Amino acid sequence: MTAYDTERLKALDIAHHLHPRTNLKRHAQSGPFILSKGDGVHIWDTDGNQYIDAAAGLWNINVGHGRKELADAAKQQIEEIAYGPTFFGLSTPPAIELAAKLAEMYPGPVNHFQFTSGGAESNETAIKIARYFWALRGKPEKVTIISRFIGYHGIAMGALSATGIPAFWENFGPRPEGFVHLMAPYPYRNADDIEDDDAFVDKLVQELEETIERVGADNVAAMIGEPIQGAGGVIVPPDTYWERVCEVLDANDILLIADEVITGFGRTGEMFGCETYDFQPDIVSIAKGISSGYIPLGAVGVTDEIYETMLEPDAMFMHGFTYSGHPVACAVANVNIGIIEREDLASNARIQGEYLLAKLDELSPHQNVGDVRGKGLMMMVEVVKDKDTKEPFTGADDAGPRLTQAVRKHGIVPFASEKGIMISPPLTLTREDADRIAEAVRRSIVEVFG
Amino acid sequence: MSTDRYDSARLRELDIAHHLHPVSNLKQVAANGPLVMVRGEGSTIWDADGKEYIDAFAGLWNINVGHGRKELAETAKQQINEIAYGPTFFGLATPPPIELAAKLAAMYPGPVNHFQFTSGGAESNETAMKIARYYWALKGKPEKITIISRMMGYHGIAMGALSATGIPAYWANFGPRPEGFVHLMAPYSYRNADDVNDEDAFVDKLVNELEELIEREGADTIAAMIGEPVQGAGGVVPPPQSYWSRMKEVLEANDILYIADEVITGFGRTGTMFGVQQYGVQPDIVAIAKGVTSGYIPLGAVGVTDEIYGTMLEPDAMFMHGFTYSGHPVACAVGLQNVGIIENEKLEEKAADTGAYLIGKLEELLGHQNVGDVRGKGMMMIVEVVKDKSTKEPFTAADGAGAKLTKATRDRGIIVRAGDNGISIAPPLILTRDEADRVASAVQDSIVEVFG
Repeated sequence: MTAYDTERLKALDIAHHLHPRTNLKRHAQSGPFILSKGDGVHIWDTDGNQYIDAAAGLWNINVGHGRKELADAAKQQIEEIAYGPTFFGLSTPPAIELAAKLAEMYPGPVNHFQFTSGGAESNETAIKIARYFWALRGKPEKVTIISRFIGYHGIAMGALSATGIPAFWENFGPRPEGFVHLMAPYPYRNADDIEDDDAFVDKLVQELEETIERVGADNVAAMIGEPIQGAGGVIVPPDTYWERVCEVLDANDILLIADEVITGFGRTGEMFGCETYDFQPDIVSIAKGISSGYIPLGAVGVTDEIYETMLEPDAMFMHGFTYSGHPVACAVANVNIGIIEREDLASNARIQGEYLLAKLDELSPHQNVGDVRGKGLMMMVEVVKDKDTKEPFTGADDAGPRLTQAVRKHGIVPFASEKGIMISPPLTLTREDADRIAEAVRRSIVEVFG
Repeated sequence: MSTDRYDSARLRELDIAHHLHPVSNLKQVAANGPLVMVRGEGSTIWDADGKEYIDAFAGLWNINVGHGRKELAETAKQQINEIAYGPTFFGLATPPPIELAAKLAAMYPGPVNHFQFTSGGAESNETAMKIARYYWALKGKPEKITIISRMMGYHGIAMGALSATGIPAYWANFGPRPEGFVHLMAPYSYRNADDVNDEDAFVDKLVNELEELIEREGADTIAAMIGEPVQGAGGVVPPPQSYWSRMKEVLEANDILYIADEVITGFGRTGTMFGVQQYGVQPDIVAIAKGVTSGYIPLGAVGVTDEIYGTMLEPDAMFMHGFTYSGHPVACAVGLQNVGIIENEKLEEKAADTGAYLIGKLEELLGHQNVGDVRGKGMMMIVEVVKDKSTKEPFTAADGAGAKLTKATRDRGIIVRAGDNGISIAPPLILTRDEADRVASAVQDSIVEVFG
């Protein structure tokens, strides 16, 4: 392994690297945790310590680390043509091949794909296309975007407005009008007054209907939602939720944008999250697993109907990112998707996910474990201060930093915060890896909470 | 050079069927298909039928070191084989973003020493504006939120960046923009200085507009002004020489941050390493992208001063902003090496030299009845066309000038950005004089063909 001067890197990082999503005050004291090598589900820090990457980077390294064919694909494409725009009707072969592949893979009439460099850009694009579609249809007043609390759609200003986690909103200025948020389909906290799944879905659907009634269907462009909410806390909706939501949206001429940034490419146990719940979106946002994070890439797909409407004006579609259809990103994604299909990683995610979730569920009796939930290889152990009242920990309790320290000590890198531990490993996970993760989580919780 | 292995008819068909192009006339793409580029070397690119072009727009203003740099391919491969991705959230890092952050701090003028990464210019500008507002909130002035930008400014099309962008065509049909954005006049002497005598008087007029705006809005409600040192995508507008220093004086006097959008102007494009060096102005925040990797892998960054960084350290709480691909190791490894090439080959000096030469050649077109203005700085320039030279009446989409110029230039073997306002040129910084001659003569012939 390459030798690194960890102390030098730490000093440079503190001096010059302004980290995102980090407690900057603490970081300036403790310095970074520096990863320098990856292979399969394993990662190593610059001091040579090995960990299981139980977050798959940030939910994205679906095929695992160290796939040499992806390195070769990147090198070859750079040597051919590293970059060419897709603006002004220009194109390169990898973007075209990938668009065609996605059209074949994604269910239903979603057959037309535009590229981005990540999930936030995909969701910005999806929201803008929804509004553009209605403007072209002669209904420019259909602009409102319905989303849900706990939903995470990214932090560019449009995506941020759809995101339903208020902590991301504060101190960043006025959000635009035209966004409303529904309750999350989160039975652990939102179904206390309800008898069963069906009644909970009734409650959620009723809230949607009331919101449409209040805002006016003529003012609503689209609803955006993750099939399973991810970064907000792995919220697995009741089985009939999406089908019932779709009925209401269809009846009111409201588009559905599926945010499959996390759920795409096998994560939930099917290739796409909409297949896990058997519903059909009009627009889909993807990112992460499309390239397994090897090169930044995202995409947005639209139905034949939306595409045809967008063809009508003899005018420029005035939206696009410089790196839309980046040839290196698309070439790597083409090979990456081949691996996901060839190795049937969606099935492995389903099988190992069920196994790991059951192991984690053994933690349920612990006095600080409130809920254990998940689908495929995305899951969460939610911790609480008091199991009866479900009182959450706050920043002041320091549960997040303590859990983070504990899990690393036990050789895994998941997402740890005061809400608990979220796990989304590479889809190549083996049963032995799952056992190691479950054991490390168990030890960490006992160590932190007793 | 063989491009035989590409079936261009099949690629065109698949593209029409499944690839939804950005910033394109979709109706025309569906009718005519795409122009598919398959190979690049230096300033030259080839399409799927083997036709050769000079890439006189360097992709989209970004391929500063030119195409086909084998060492960047090798670096990408090596980094993927080490670790292809690791987050920078939650205090994590990998070596390449650390090294690149330190390098950018060494390169960028003044106290801008702390860098966060993104995957492109729009994300950089979103980040820059959010940091400006966050800074004032932490300083106990949460009402300082307004962002001043300028008409013709282009800052990207995510919703925050789009609101700063000052080109109304990008706003239409995409729903309500957020409050808190106001736009000044562009420092565009060709159209905005008709009522003034000289450059100093024009700058007085522009500064006066800024002062009046601050007076009207209230300095206590304004977070920052964002501006490209030389406006790019809006139409290559180099401001008068004293413009930025005069504007900055007013901003400082009113406690308003300056965000330099160096997405295009960074890494040698204007003839100095960064655009602010052309005008001797010091920003508080800088947004970069494009030339940082020469487009080989998507990457952007935002730099802030020691003062802003020091303030961001104060709360014992998460900074709630970040993109998954912030600090992507492959992008940063390629960025680091690319920046080394720019420095070693002194490409900013080449840009100054070849740019001045090419602008000089293009100025020969000023005698043409439809050429209104020729302007630029370093390797970014525009030949602005007009319907009527005395009234400066522009062409509209209905005239089809953009589409005709696009076809004429492509027929002559150059890729430029041709619109109804003319031809924008931003070649790789390695362009040779011979290639500059070929670009100039193709532009001249295209203008004569389209306008007579």
